[in-house]
Amino acid sequence: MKTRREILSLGAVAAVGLSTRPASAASTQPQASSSGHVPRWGMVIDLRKCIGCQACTVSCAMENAVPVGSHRTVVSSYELPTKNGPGQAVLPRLCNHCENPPCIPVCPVKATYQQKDGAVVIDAEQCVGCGYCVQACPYDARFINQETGVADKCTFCVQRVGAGLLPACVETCVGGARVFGDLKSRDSQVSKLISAHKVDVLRPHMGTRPQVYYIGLDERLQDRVEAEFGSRDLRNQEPHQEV
Amino acid sequence: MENGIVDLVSFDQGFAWRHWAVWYFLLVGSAVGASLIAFITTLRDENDPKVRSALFAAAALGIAAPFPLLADLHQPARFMHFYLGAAPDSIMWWGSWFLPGFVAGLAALVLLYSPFASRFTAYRRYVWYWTTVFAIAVLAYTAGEMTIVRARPVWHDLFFPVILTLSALVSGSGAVTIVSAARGEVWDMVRRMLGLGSLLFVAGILTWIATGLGKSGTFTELAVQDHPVSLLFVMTGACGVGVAALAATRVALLNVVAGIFAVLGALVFRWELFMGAQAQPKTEAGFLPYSLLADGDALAGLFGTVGLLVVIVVILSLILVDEGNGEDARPASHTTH
Repeated sequence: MKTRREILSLGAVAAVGLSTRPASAASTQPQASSSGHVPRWGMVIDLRKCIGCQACTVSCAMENAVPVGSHRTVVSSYELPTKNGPGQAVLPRLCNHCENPPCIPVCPVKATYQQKDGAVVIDAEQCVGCGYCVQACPYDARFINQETGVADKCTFCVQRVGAGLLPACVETCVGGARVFGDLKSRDSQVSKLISAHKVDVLRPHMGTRPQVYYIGLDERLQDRVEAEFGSRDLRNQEPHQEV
Repeated sequence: MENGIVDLVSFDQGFAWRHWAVWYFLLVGSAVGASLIAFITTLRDENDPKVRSALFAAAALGIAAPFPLLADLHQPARFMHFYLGAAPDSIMWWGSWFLPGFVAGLAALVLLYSPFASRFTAYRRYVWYWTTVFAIAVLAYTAGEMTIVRARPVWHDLFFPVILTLSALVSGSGAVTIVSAARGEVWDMVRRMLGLGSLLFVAGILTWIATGLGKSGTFTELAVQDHPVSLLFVMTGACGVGVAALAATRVALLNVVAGIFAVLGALVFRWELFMGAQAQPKTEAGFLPYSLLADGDALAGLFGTVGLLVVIVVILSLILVDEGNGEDARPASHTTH
């Protein structure tokens, strides 16, 4: 049995630890493995915590020099009818780094490929900018970078993860909604979240086996969202203005 | 659909395939159609003068085709990457070999039918076989590379490759009709192909629309909900019917008009299929705005492609002259019925 002094000491250590370590990174910080273990990176997005602030959108654009008008990740926002009247729902979108990525086999020059850790990436020196992979992605996660002339997409911030950091969107998420980690490891926070909650993926019928999982995903947002009206219609109606 | 969902914040990704893809698919599809007509004619009589009309059309369109394809690459200077490695899983990679094979075959045939290679006429048959094999391969790859894209329901549909292929054959017949009419020929076989093909084309489009009623992200949604697009579809249908009606006449001028309508109908159809499908977001409803008239680059591409075709036609007129007399093939010296 522990004495009261020991219990208080443990509590003080825990309090200091919690106050000095970012919450979302505490157990998900990717580490280079010395044991030869190859992780399978994935992401869990807890929609109950997402407030749609777009901090992830901005930090991704800053980290990866995404040109204005294009996005590697975005947070779509919808008004959904509920029992109690209209409610708001948010849906962060990014490359799903699928187990069966349809963007890879179509590439005619093998510029896009999947790393051993599961991240789907693009060799910008090899890409000819044919746009075939952009067409093949069912998530609109790819685009042609108008500055480089090659296909572009989320890489799970491969440059940061390789250095032991979290992807920029995860690091910046103020609500701790985005959690990144090794899906192969039972001890990772992503694995624990997946086992503890009902999780869904986007467009499962496409057979791509996405590795970005959502907690609290409304089924009306799981596939193509059939919005009746909204910002897209407004954009199409209003004369385009350069900002 | 009334579900009460409103998109508050949404994002649009740009079009990956630009207008150049439309010109490419029009040119190469028509070229294949024309070359197949020429090949069928050679099976009966290799020296039939009408073979030259079909070859002329096929060569003009086929030799022009790679230019807009190259322009559609966002890194055109890297086109050699297609040939520096193998990507057999990609239909587009196979196409990068089929297309040069087809164009090389057409260019070789132009030379073999020119006065400069009169000693090598015995080789024509072999080159025709070569060209026809590659023509069919091009037809298969162009339809196949889009049909496999599951993310685009408009393309990932059994009707898509069938009607795209039919459209290629109709526009190829139209191009041959224009050339043969300019040469003073009335070619009954092509006229019938044009008329029958157009009717099948219109029937196919209407059936396709009917099968997609009430479904999201389909060709039907494209044709019905996006009003400017549906207007163009009506035009396409009208063109088809017009072509069918006009093709029933033996008056050369009306045949030229029919041929022009056939090619224009194929152009409009491809524009809607390629640009219209890309205007459908994959994860959300609505349409992204895109208009040929609002895109100065697209208009420049249109005039540039037509200009390129004119240049190639002029060059071919100098090379592909009538056998034996060395005169330009175009004068209406022979009318065949």
